[in-house]
This record gives sequence, C-alpha cells and structure tokens, in this order.
Amino acid sequence: MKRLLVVDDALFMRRLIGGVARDAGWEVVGEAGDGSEAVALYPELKPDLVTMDLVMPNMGGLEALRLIRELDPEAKVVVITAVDQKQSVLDAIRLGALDFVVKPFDRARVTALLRKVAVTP
Amino acid sequence: MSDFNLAELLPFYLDETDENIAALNDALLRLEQDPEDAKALAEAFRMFHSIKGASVVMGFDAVNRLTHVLESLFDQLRTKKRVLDRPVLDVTFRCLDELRDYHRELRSENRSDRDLAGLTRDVEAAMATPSTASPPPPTAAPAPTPEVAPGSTTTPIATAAILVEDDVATIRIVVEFEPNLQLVDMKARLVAERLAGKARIARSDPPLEKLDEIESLAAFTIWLVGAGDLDELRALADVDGVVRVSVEALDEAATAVEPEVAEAVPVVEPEPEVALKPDMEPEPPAPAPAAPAPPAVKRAKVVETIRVDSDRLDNLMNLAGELVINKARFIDVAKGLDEVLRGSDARGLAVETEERLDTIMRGLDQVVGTAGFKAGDGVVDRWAGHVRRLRDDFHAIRGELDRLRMGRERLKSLGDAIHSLGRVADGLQKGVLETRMVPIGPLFERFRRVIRDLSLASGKEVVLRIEGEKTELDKRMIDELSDPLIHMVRNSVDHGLEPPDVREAAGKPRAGTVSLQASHRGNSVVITVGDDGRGIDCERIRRKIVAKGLVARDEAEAMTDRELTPYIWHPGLSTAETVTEISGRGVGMDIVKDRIDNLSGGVDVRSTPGQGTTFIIRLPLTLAIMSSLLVRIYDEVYALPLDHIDEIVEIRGDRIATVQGRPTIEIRGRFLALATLGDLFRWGGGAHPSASAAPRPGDRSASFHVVIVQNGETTIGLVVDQLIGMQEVVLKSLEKNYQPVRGLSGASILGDGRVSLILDVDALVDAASRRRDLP
Repeated sequence: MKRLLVVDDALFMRRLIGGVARDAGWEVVGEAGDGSEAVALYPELKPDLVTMDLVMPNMGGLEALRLIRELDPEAKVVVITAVDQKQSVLDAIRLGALDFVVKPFDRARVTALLRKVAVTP
Repeated sequence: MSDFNLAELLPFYLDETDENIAALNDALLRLEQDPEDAKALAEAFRMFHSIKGASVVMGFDAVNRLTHVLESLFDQLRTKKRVLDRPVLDVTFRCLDELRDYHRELRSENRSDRDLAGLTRDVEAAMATPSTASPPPPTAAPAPTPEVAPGSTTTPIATAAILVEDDVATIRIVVEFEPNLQLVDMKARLVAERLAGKARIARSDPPLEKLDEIESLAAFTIWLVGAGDLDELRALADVDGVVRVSVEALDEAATAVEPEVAEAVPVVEPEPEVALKPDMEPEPPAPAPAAPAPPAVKRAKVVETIRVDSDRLDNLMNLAGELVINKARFIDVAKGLDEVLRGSDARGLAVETEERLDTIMRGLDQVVGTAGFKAGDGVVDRWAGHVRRLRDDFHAIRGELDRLRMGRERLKSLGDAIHSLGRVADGLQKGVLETRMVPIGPLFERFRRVIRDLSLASGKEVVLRIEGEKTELDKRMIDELSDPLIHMVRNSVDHGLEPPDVREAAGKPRAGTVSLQASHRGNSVVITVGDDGRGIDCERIRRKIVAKGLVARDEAEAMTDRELTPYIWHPGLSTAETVTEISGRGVGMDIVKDRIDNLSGGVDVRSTPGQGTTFIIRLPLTLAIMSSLLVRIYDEVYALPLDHIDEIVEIRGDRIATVQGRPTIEIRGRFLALATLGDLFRWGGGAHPSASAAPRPGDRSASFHVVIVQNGETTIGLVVDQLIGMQEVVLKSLEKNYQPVRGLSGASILGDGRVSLILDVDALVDAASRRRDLP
C-alpha cells in the first residue's frame, strides 16, 4: 500500500485529500499543518508521496519542498496551488516537484493523479 | 419520395439552411469589401445552389424560385459576366434577411406565409439591368478587422528550417492535454523538466520560451537526444492532466516523411460548415509540428461529423448524470458495509476461547482419570458435557467468523468494481458533455452582419473585434445567448459609442470599437461585450432613479458610481435621451439579466466615463453538472457551486465584530459581511425551526464554519453548520419540477437518494448585501 503525507493548513483540504487517497487505496501516514511540520515528519515517515499546499503559515510549501528534496533527492512531492500562483508553480517545478494540481479540483482529479504517481519511475 | 417522411427531415433542412445563410452573410460581407473576391463568389454560388436543392426536396417552392434566380445571378458574377455592384449587393442582403425570417417562421410555426415572389422579381430586375462598369467602393464603416478570418484554422508554420537541425533528435514525445486544462503551459514545462532528468531536450513545439504566451494548448511535442527506455519516458511525460502520450523512436525514414505530412495538414479546407460543428479539439495545437503526430492527423479528420437531435443528447446527459449519482450511492453503500464489517479481533477471540475450553476439558478429563475419583460422579460429568458443548458451539461461531472474513475480502473486490464503474461513469459523463460543446465562433461571426447594419442605421463607424472564438460551451447556452448578446451589442453601438465627430473631438479614433471576447476561467466561461464609447452616465441614472421614486433623493446623492451602475438592470430604466430605432427604450437590459440568470450565470457591468463600457457575462461550462461543496445547514444538505467559493474558514465567535449593525469578519485585512441562511430565507413564512437552536454570530464562545462566496463583485461569508465535501452534482430544475424559488438555482439528488437544494450564490450575495429577504 502506498503511503501519503498530506500537508495543508486547512483541515478541510487535508480531510478531502486524505479521504480521496484512502478511497484510492492509499494509506495516509501523516498530516502536517505547515511546512516546518512537514519537514520534521518527512524523514520519520518516509512516505511514497507528499501533497504540499503552497501558501501556509510559518513555513510555506516552496521552502518545505526545497528542504524535503535536500533531505531526500528522490522525494516525490505534488504541489497544490491556486491558478494565480503561476510563478510559484514554476519555482516548484524547478525545485523538483513531481506534479501540481490547481485548486479548486474535484475528487477525480486527485484520484487520477495518485494513479499516475503510483507508476511514475 | 413518398417513402420519405418530410417532417422528419425538416430539422436537418432548417439547420443546414441556417448554416448556409450565416455563411452567405459572411461571404457577402467579404464581397462588400472586395467585390472581386473569387472565393467568396464561388462560395455564395455554391450555397445558393445547396439551398435551392434542399428546398425543392422539401417542397418549399417560393424558396426554390428565389434561390434559383440568386444562383443564376451568382453564376454570372463568378464567371465575370457581370460585376457585383451596390444594387445587386443590397438586394442580395435583403434576400438573405427574408430567407432567414422565412426559415425562422418555418421553425417556430411549421409554416411561413412570407411572400418571396416580390424579391424574386427584384433579383430578376437587377439581373436585367446592365451592370455598372466599376464595382462599388468598399464601404468604410463596417470594416471587419482582419484578425479573425471567418472559418479560419491555424495554418502550420513552415517547418523546413527546424528540420535541418533536427537530425540529432532520436526520440519524439507528443503529449496531449485535457481540454481547458488550467496552467497548461506549466504542465508542459513540468513534462520538459521531468524528461530533462533522463535525456537532453533538443527542442519542443511550442518552444519552452514561448510557453508563457500561450493560454491553451492541446498538445506539446518534445524532441529528445539520447537513448532511453521508452516506457520510462512515457511514464515521466504522463503528468496529471495528460490524456495521451505517444513516444516514438525516430529514425532516418521517419524524419524523411515529416515535411510531406506537415504539408498535408493545411490542405484541410476551412469549410464554413465545419466551423459550426462541434470540433473535437477545442484548441488547435498552436503551430502544428513537423510531425505525423496524433493531433495533426486528428485535425484532418474533423470533417467527419454526425448530426444528432439535441433532445437525444439531453437524454443521454441525464442518464449519464443518473449513473454518476448511482455511483455515489454505491460508494455510500460500500462505505456503510465496510464500517459494519470492519475487521475486528472477534475471530482471534473465538480461536482463543476455543483453545481455552479445550484446556479446561483436558483438565477435567485428567481429574476423571486420576485414582480415587469415583466414576459416575454426576457433577464433574455434567460440567465436562457443558464445556464440550461450549467448545463445539464456539467452533461453529468460528466458522461463521471465517465466512465473515471472506465476505470482507469480497467487499474489497466490490470496492474495486465500484471504482472502475466510477471511472466509466465519469468518463461517460465527460464524453457526453463534450458532445454538447461547440465553439462560440459562429455565434460571434454573426455579429459582423449585426454591426454592419447597426453602423449603417446609426451613422456611426464601428469596428468589431472578436477574440477567443474557439472557446467552447454548451450548445444550448450558445442558442440562449444569442438574444442577450445582440441586445448588449446594440446597446453598445447605440448608447455607448459616440458619433464620429464627437469621438474625433475627444481625441479618439473616428471608428468606435465593439469587442466580443470569450475565454475559459476555471469551470466557467467568461464572455465580455465591450465598447470604447462614452461610458455610462451615472448622473443621469441618479436623476432617473430619484424621478422614478426608486431611491430617496438624499440617499441617491450619497451613492457612488459603483452603486449607481447596477441600476441599468432595473426594469424600465433607460438613460437614452431619445428613443432610437435600434435599442428601443429601457426594455431589454433587465431581460438580458434574467436570461443570463436563467442560465445559472451572472452579468456585471464596468464602465469608465469617456473610456467605455464592458459587460462581463459569466456562465457555467455546462448547465447539467456542477462541481459543488456540500454543506449542512439546519440539518439539511445544501450544495454551493464551487466556482463561487473563494475559501472556507473556521472562526471563533469572538472574532465576529458588528459593523453598522451587521455581523462582520475580517479575513486578511478584508472585512466581509456574515450571513446565515436564517437571515436570507423564510421557511413557510417564518424562521426555520432549527434556526433558533443554531449558534448565532453573537455567541462569542462558539466557533463557526464560514464559506466565503462571491458573485464577481461582492464577497460575503455564509455561516454553515457542517462541511461535508466536494461533489459533482447533477442539476435538476426546480422550475420544471416544482416552481422557481429565488435564492435556489435548482436541486440535486445525493448519493443516498436524498434531495439537496442548490443555493444560488448570486441571489444570496445580492440579498445579503442589500439586506433584502428571499422568499
């Protein structure tokens, strides 16, 4: 079973993504409410995938993405973004984000993404 | 002939004739600019010929006779036996109008009493007079801008130059994206970045540095240098939002055939008919690459279309919607079963208990076996018997538990089956949805004629600018949009644009510009109608609303332009000084708004004095399905359209302030009015029975879920009791099934079969910001 770490400051989004992931046969091994929590949890959990919101208090998603990729250059991180954050998306791609999803999205979008991630080398 | 049921053929005849008339209008407009445009002449001849042929089959003799003389006329014109002069052009335009009205009546009333004989004689008379020596000068006013050639398709750029340096590329990957994918340029970049880890990128189409300028992209082609595992590359290129990846190892032969194929692409004749049919590819791959890539090949096949009665599509759409609802129901049932059957340790306990009973039995047997024990001691025997029965019972229970465990495993495969059913259902729904999508281009093109006529009637010079004509939306919406758009365009020309002299005096170009734009934004389509005229005269609105007693004088004096502008939607309010032939007086804008509201859309107006007015229409992509947030309010489930939701926050009661007597919250420096459904609705004339039990915003210790919703202009916070989740809902009309209710845009059936009401955010925001009650 693939293991997922969900990072988002909104409980609602964490629940949503977590729920979809569970329905798709993933195990949600952790949730983080900001970037620093995510960076702290990552080495402990070693998840197969991290979903990372970009705008969060304390430490944002880009910084967390950078630190996690430093810890583990193979880390798979999918960025969750709003449509008007194009520059951040570009930064995230350069920092090695595996993919990105534009908010608002529907469940099918996340399900499809997880299916693709599962077979990405 | 008698085997034919003509009534069945009629809709096809009408559709085709409409398309032909629209295309004829277009050809004539081009001829008005260049009377010797051979292609336009040939097109016009061909289309009159087709109408003639079709009308004779249908038995519409009057149409047949008129188009027959027109066909002869255009035969003379295209063979240069006569010159297209002003009288001929004018009579042809009149014929088109008359033919259009004739067929419109035919459509609505199944018959038309229009007398076409007079016109037929007029055309014959025009043919009898010798043609003027020189063609008429092109009319100056209604100059269609060259930006959008009617029915144009993107012509692939020359590719030979690129191919020369292409000799090193060894692998080509073509990635096709979902239509209307958001940030698609970033997705293309992502594909390149992911591939760059494995191979060197030789080039791409569109080039990476050009991606920023591109808003929509159907396909992205990338050429790689080096060897690699093709399957691995395919997986890397297959990012979220990609519908198909084709990977191809290039060899000499493949490179050699490329130019030929590339040349074959533009051969596809941009037939006007084609432009009117749903094009399976919403956006052409900008410049088609020098590749026999699937998108290029697909373009060549676009011509194969089929006409389907739109009722059938509606029916399919409904069924697909029901299927999606059923899927949700299945998921609910499976979840329920899963909860009931959730793995517990019952079986382990049973096994343990059985073992323990075995031990006790063995112990008892030992007691019986020891010396000095008197056989036949009733008590011990009885106990041994009890224990044995207990053990046997537990064995049976264990069997049951084993079966339960098997059931649990079956449930897992039920889950898988539901999952694939869901995929099919979603795909089916999406597919059916796409069949209904048509580009807005033909609708926009019709306005060239409207603008020409308006320009001639008003004596104003008008240029029409069209953008985003490839934007697709639901066919039914396109049909419904026609009237409101015509009204807005008329309004722009008549009230918005100044006469040429006034414009010149104001330092503006003599010709005014009216623009029609369409684009996708998220799950919505945005259509704007703009002009660069004088803008809305807010002082006049102020005087009118006071004069009509809509607003008290002192209140009106205090109103800002922003507050005054929306009054243009008020029934019976027109700011035009005189009644004109074109726009009429004060009836219309309110109807425009009603029409757009009926399409679950919204319309806004922005105006700057001296610079112009823009109407912004926002419409859902489709009328049938809506992404929504389900919330619970007063123990009932409501759906809020996702498009209107900015964010969701949870706030404590002590963060709610009272500003001007209304509960207000601050979100990142922005103050928002807070509303509850109890503020906005009445249930059977009173408050909802549960409303009093719910925490009020005054309750400082409680915490509230607030959904921040907006209607484009205004944003408010709506208090909800519980957030349930996102779901696609199938809209069912309240009007059709019950009666229209202000504040509700429809209803939907949820996964568990219950009905959820869909809140009309526009009306809610409206009511909340004006403190007006909904019924």
